[in-house]
Amino acid sequence: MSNTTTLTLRINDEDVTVAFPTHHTLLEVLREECRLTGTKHGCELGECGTCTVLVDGKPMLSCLVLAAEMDGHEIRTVEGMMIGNTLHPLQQAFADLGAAQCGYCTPGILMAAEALLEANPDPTREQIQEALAGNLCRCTGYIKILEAVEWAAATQRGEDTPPAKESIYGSPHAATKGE
Amino acid sequence: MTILLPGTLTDAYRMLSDDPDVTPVAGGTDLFAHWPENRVKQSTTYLDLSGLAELRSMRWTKSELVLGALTTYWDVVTDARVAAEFPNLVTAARQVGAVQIQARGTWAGNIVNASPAADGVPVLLAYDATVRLGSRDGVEDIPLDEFYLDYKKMRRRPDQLVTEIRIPRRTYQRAWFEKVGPRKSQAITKVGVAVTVAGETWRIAANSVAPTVCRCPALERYCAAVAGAKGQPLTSPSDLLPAIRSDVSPIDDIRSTAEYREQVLARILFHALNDAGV
Amino acid sequence: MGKTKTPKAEAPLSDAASEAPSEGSTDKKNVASDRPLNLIGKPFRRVDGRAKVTGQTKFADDLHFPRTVHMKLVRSTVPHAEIVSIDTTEAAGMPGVLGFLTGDDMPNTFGILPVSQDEHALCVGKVRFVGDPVVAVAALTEDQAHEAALKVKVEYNDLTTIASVEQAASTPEPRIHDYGDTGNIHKQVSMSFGDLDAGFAEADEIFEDIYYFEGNTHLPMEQHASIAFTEDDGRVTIYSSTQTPHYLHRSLAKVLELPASRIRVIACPNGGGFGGKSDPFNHEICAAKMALKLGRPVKIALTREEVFYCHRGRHPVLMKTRTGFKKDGRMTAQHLQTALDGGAYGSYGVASTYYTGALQTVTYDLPKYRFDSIRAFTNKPPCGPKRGHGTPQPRAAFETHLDKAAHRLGIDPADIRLNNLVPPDSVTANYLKVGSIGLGDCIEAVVKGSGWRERYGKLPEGRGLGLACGSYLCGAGLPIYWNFMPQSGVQIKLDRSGGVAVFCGETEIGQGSDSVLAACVAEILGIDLQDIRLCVADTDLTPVDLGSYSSRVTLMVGNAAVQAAERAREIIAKAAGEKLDVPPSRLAFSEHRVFDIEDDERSMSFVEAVQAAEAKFGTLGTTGSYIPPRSPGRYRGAGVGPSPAYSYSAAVVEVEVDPQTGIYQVEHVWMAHDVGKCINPALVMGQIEGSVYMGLGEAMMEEQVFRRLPKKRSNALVHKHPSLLEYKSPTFHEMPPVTSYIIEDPDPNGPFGAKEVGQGPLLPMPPAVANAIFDAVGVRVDQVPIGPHHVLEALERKAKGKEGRVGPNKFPDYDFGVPLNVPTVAEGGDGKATNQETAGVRKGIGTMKDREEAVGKGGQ
Repeated sequence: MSNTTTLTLRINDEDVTVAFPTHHTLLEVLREECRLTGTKHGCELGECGTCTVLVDGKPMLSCLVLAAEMDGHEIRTVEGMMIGNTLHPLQQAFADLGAAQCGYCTPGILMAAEALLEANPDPTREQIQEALAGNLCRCTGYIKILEAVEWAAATQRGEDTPPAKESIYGSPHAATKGE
Repeated sequence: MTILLPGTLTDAYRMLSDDPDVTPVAGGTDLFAHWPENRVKQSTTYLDLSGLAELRSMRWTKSELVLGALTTYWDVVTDARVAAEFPNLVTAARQVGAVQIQARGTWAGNIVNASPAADGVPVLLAYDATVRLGSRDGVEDIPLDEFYLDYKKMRRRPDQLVTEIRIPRRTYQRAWFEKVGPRKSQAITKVGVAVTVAGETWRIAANSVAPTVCRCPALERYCAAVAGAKGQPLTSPSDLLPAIRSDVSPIDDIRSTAEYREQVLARILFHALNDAGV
Repeated sequence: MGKTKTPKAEAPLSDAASEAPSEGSTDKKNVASDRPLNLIGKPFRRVDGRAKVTGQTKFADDLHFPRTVHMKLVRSTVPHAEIVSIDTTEAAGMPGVLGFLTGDDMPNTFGILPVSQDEHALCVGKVRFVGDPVVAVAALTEDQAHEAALKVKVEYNDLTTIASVEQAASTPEPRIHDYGDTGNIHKQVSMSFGDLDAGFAEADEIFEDIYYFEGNTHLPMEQHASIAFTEDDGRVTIYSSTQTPHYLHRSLAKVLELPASRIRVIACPNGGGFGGKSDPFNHEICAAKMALKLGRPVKIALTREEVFYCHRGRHPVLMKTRTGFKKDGRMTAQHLQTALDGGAYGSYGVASTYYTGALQTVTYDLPKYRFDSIRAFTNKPPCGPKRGHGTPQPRAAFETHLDKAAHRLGIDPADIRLNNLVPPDSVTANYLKVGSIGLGDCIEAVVKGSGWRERYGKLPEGRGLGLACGSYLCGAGLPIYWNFMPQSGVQIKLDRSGGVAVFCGETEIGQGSDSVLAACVAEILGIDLQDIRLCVADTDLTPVDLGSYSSRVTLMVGNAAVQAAERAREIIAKAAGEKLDVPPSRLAFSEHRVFDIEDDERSMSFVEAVQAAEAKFGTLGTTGSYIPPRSPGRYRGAGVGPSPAYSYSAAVVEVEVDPQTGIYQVEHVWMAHDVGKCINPALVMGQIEGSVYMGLGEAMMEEQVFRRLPKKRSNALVHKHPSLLEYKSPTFHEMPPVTSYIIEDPDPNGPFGAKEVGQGPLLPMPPAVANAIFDAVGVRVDQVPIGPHHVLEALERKAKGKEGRVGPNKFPDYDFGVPLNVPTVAEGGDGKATNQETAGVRKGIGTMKDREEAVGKGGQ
């Protein structure tokens, strides 16, 4: 069943020439041929968002795209996010706020968030929710992720607005002791 | 299983007429689901249209908005002109899956996939869209309203491709779309309804309530009559039930029940009509 | 630097190597909690944070070894049948195929509980649910393995399918298993604590409610995966997404018939677990066996559909709660009955059964309490532990029951709860020892935060508030298999580099266990997290920790880490004290320095201090262990429920209900959780928010349900929707804003006073949503999940003048047998049952002892 395609893919600003079965998805080729295992899989049908990568800056589900279609397109994965040895502001915010718990959905969410901030540097919370609604996370309850995206967006805009104290310490209450 | 990747529309037409069993793919958000498992079970040949630049354009003529077969939901969501003139298209597109699906899924794919729950189709029906089919033998235009024959059956010959969706430009006094699903994104519709009003002409189309997405002529007549003060004013959602029952035939399935679908369709229509002062 | 305050008491110097593990106890103050804290209680980046945002974290399916081959399991397509024949001939001829395994290759049974060793790595003789694995096939590529799996032919002889608890109770034959209490009843429990009749006689009112909690599943984003290979010396190693590498290790030894010392299990970071990766699984054992057979690395990554078959999720439970109330809302007695649909295997089910009753008394004071339960075998994927293990179901039943009682008695739902608080440092009717209790503070916090007193019952139609509470374990008091060894162990290696290596069997599943481990050590040694290198979850290299389940890690691993670090500190202090000419008890460790608290000029760097210790004592290493305190219960079944400490939570939920569609939206959640003491508040917040989220999912939409295929397609009982397309969980859109309150009531048994936070805050969510819907539109949906169609149906019933309620009306008349009678402490009881011999008698079955003899062969 499998004829093979040989293609030079443009991934994270590098050319990678790979041969793969023509029917294989971009997800499989990234993980298996390119060993870029930062991109995850979670459902095989485009519902969970863990396989999100950027194709020409648009968030796409790499499980629903054939690698063979990727000639001439720019692909970006989580491995391409760091700037040298420095974390991207989104990565920094996710790490510091605990927006990544198990971390499995994180690469896909980082990609979708990066696409959002590229198009809209100052999104409202509703806009972030809409941009990330295709990514499921079972650990965080999404709140730390929303706060991290807001924090990163502010950082990218050059503003110094860390998350509110309540999002880290909880809200004050009558039984609060000391501090 | 084989993948064909035509470089031109002519190639695509040739491949389709050479092998009537070929399945065209425009986006693949449905066809490529469960891919690793399905592809080992299937001997299907897929014709992946993604390389056909001819099908990618979205353009305006004096009288029509023309969506090329590879126009994605994302293309529509991000187009201010569409939002101004055909707001229902944007409303519906934003409720398809989530951004990743919107960036990949196409209107034409949604039509030909022929799911009774297709989210893009009710709004196209309510805007009186026409489907243009192309083949080696030329083009054929079919009103979307006449396109579906039965569950997953449609008036597309195996050698034909949907190349365009053509939407007439009219002045609408009113256009709205409502989708009821189990959650706000990444959800298959339990019941959805699109409505447009142009002058005295009503168009109402619903999904997930019949074997195909369908127009609701009895409801259209009923609403037009009520709006034109020719019928009894509406007092409760159940006033709409006789027309609903003559138009649609919902079923109990894993996503909802027939009764809930009828009730909810009646209620959302009733409230929308109320809000519109009908 | 050097301004740190005087620590009060130093731990007595001890010989670390020879000291026996200390048993936790409530009267022994935790040494570490007396010093001023540098790190604990402050937000810090989790130690695995950077790897997780760069894609560097290696989950099991991210690993690749040269010559790796791929394995697929052929799973049963019928729910209950004898296997007549297996034919792999055609499959063997497929391209790339390397080999097969069947049940005959692995005849030994396994299972997580010693009393439920009822699984085979591949089915032997019969299949018990659609999805039960029958054959394993390995091939060069995953596609090839898959194609070959489709060609394996299995012939079945169908047996009657058992689809429900009621059917199981009325259909003793054919038995799904040849062990269990009777017929298809896996487990029956009946126990009575105190004079129940007297308790009910004291009551002014007695209320009874029936409630149903549908099953649901964990849905970790990572699908289970394993990769196994043989080492050069013939030993076998497996990397796996498991929460319990230690239990997997034991199961592998049993099934592979190899000494455990020749098997190495490494738990990769789990891409979420929530209890779904706490059992040893078929695919893990098959991967190891296939690797031994082929001599090549064997990988298996389950599809999402297969993850639904692995399941071990929330049991569907039908419950009847009958409670006596005084006029002021004080409870005098409760009789709870639960019926669990266990699915096709034992899993943790015996424990789950007890857990549906054990913690009722920990949340509120119930002076007399009776609990009856049965767990049935049915032909569905096995149920087991999901976040909250067995307790969210009775919690939902109890908290909605209390809400109704409050209305019937004319008491505010917040007050009825405040009137029934368990006193701190007390022993419950069922002999659970409770230490710190922050529930009162939790209730006060959410009541105040939500404006409850001003708004409850007064919001416009369609808008409502609901309140509910919960409590949870901080680790099970007893290990899963009986032994006297530590439940958690930590080893520390230090050397002249100043680097500290910490070894522990704990497993990071996203909850932050690595960070807790590192923080406890860093705090005590006064160094940074970056100076610590962790080696975790590797059965070859790390001391045993039982695993990431029952919210045990922070408390147990934390205590073991504190002990190991304190011992290291003592050794270093001895050597440094000698060099600085300061008594070791006067030395403080902070900011990479060791200094005299009375004269901070007299100091040396941590590195110098470690070098002094290495010179004085030779190679440095310490250990720490943790064994929970003994629980006072001495009756059969007393092993489930005890914990070193209990966490508490309270929630208020605000909903907006659209009466036209029944669709409701959770607008806001106020959640207070008593965590004892935060190790890291940022991570505590993440656990609270994650629990709120998962609880909302269960309340609103998640359900693992089944249907019959049409007759022409075998009529099999199949999963209704084993895919993410139909199994709906909340997205970003459904998550409401959450106002969280962290209540810190330090528990003497917790490291630095810390208790759990990973599971407790889930518990109040489903009932709080139900109670809020009642406040909004005046109808009761007495089942979970609460779908819009349920709300609409209840509203329509109400509109027609019927009871505005949807939910079960009947609890079947099951025979639970003669209850075990245990007098309470107040009645002069000593924790023992008065009728150990005769308890459990069921019509025609005989005594517990008879039964044990009769079914003993089904045990381990």
